[in-house]
Amino acid sequence: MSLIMLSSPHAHGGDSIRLMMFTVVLALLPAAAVSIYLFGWLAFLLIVSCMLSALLTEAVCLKMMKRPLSTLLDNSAALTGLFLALTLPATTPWWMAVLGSVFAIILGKQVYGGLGHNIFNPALSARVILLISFPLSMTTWIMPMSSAAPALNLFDFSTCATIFFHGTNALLTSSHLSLDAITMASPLGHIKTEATLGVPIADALNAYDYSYLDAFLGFEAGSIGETSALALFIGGIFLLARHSITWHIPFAYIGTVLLLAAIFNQVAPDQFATPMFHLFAGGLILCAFFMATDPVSSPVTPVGQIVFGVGCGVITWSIRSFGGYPEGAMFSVLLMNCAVPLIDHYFRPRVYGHHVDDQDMGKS
Amino acid sequence: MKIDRDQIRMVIALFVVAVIAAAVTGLTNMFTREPIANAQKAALHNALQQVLPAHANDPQMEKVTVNDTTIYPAKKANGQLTGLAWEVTAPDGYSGSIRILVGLRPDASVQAIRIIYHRETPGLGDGIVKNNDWLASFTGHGLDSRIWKVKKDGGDFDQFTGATITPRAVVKAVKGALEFFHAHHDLILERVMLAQIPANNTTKGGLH
Amino acid sequence: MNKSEIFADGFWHNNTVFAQLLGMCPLLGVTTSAENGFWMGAATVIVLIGSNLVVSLVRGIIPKNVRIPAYITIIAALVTVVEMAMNAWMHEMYLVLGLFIPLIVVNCAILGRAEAFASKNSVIDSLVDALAIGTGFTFALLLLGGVRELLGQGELFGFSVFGASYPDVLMFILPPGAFIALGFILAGVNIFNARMQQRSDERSRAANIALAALAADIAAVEVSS
Repeated sequence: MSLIMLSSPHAHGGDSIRLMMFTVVLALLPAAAVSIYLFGWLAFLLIVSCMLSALLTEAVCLKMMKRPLSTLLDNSAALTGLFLALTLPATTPWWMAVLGSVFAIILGKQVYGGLGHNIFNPALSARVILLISFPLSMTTWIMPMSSAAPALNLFDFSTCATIFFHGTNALLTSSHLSLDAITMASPLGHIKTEATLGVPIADALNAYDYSYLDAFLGFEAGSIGETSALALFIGGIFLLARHSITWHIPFAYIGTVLLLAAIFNQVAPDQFATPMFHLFAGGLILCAFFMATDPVSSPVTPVGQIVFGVGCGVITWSIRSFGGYPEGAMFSVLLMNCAVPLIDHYFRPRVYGHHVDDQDMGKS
Repeated sequence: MKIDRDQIRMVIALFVVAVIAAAVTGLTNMFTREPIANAQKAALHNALQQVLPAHANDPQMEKVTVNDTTIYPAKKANGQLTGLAWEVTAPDGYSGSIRILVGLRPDASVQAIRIIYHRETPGLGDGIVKNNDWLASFTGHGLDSRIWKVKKDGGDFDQFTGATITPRAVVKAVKGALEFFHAHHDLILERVMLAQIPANNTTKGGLH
Repeated sequence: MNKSEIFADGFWHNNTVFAQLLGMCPLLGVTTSAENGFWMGAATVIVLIGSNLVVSLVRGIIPKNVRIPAYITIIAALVTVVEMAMNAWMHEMYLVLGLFIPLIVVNCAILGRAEAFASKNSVIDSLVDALAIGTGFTFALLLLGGVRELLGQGELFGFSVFGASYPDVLMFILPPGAFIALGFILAGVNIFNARMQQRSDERSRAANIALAALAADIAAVEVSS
């Protein structure tokens, strides 16, 4: 009989999980700060409500399963809540945020048996559930505060509270704004809709007033924590420096997207966006550094992680370029999560004490 | 070679089962053929009622074919043409083709449209079925009185929040129906008026 | 087994969905509303009654080696009859259920009952079994359809339950919602069964204790007399 134990983080005690999760929360702080700078109180309310409801749901689940409530202190639920909040559009109403957190904790994590047993990244699964359940709310993007003429003052608490607690429509009826005046398409959404009309990508982006610098800094429409590539890079580098993650997944993932984008952009620049555009757009960086590297739902060996990252990259780029949805980063990570047991089967860690050559794949 | 008695029994058993099964399905087919045809007719009738102006005739009985398109005319009791309807397909929906029944008035303006089949995203593109105001925005307009595009493309028809591709496809397909009417105007009217008498050779029984 | 045992077994203890996890294809495919679930179940009940009846009638006549093709032919004929009848007299529901009606042929629950029950039992017992299995399957379809319609659209049988302001949680109408809702229903059924088992265990333990006490009393009386 061969016992193969791979996927769960067996070697970690409670404290190290807690520290690991805390490091990730720290790494997300720049992105969270930028999201509040760009989307004001809306971002603040979203982050707080997601984190609180995730913690509360976790507490209820632990109580129901008669497990010690001290597990709450491992920070994982709070982190899931924060992750989810950062992937939401600014105008998400409170109940959707809460429902998302409940889905993340229950359907994403606890039904599998809690932390360490989940197949999928909990925050991402909840995000996808929200996307297919409320497609309209999840694809309505508000202009960030930085844009040339922000229609709404997002640092005005009562405006934000109206949107957050009563919905965007309530604000529209009380003010004299139209939905079109305060919302805009995300760059990815924009080129996807224009592509169906046969508009070349460069023209579409000109009409959109797109600039690489804005996209890099985060001054564009999108999920509150995904817009700023800069803030996410800072967090990602922090994680790498602290050895919380290794370079394999993010580099393989982003590298694959860049490579595919570069090749196809050379061949047919009208139909395929540039590598830079792909890099700064949507949730690629957040997914590559933070979501795909989730230790529970990613492969254990470096080679396996590279395979995982390449898979994520191929799927992300393919969905963006050919798929029905404008953005594919979330889907790609979830799809590759399914493949992790298979990847781990073929790329097993070296058994301690054995020489690499001793070990034949499939036989141990 | 000796044939086993068991083998013969097997063949006979299967044969009998097959014959009885065939007989039962055949009989059912005999009894249900007419009701099925009627039910299909009734379903199309309902759809046609919704897109055609008031009429005294049976549009399905007087259907004619022009360029492979089956056209259902609506006429008053005195034979005056009040409307025409036919199905168009929008091949460029968000998820696959959308089939639309378009009802036109003789002056080449839209009476009403109705989506017969679609697989658009629930909550976004399926507004083409659920949004009655949007469906009504086609009524009364011909090729000249509207720019047949969604507003985002500089036209006169609303897109939906979060869904542009679906309404764009429908608008384009309805425009296509109007263009078809203009291109074959005389031929269509000629055929339709010839189909006056129900038992005419082009429309025998109205059933397939 | 008597008739009520057969029924309880088919409806609950051996329920096609809750216990055997068979017939998943129509179960997950058509249950976007309670009404769809109900009519799919009704069509299955009719086919199941017919197939159990016929298979039970011809048991012993059909040689063992060719029983499976014979059963499948019988089931296919019955499904075709039901399909044509629905097309004729329930045209709108026929259009909704569409492909899933012909797929009843390959619903393993039906061939399973023909093979496991009808081919070995009397006609009456087979009919009871068909009714039990069929209604049990319909119950599962109705339950899943109801849950999905309620959560997905805030309605039940097309009537608004949660009012117009209910935000439709579309996931439950879409395929993933079928799996998630089914998972929670199965968990609920398992909890229910476990509770029932626990209760009957406790009852039998209590009965044993009472019996022992009685026996002790009798013994004591006998000793004293």
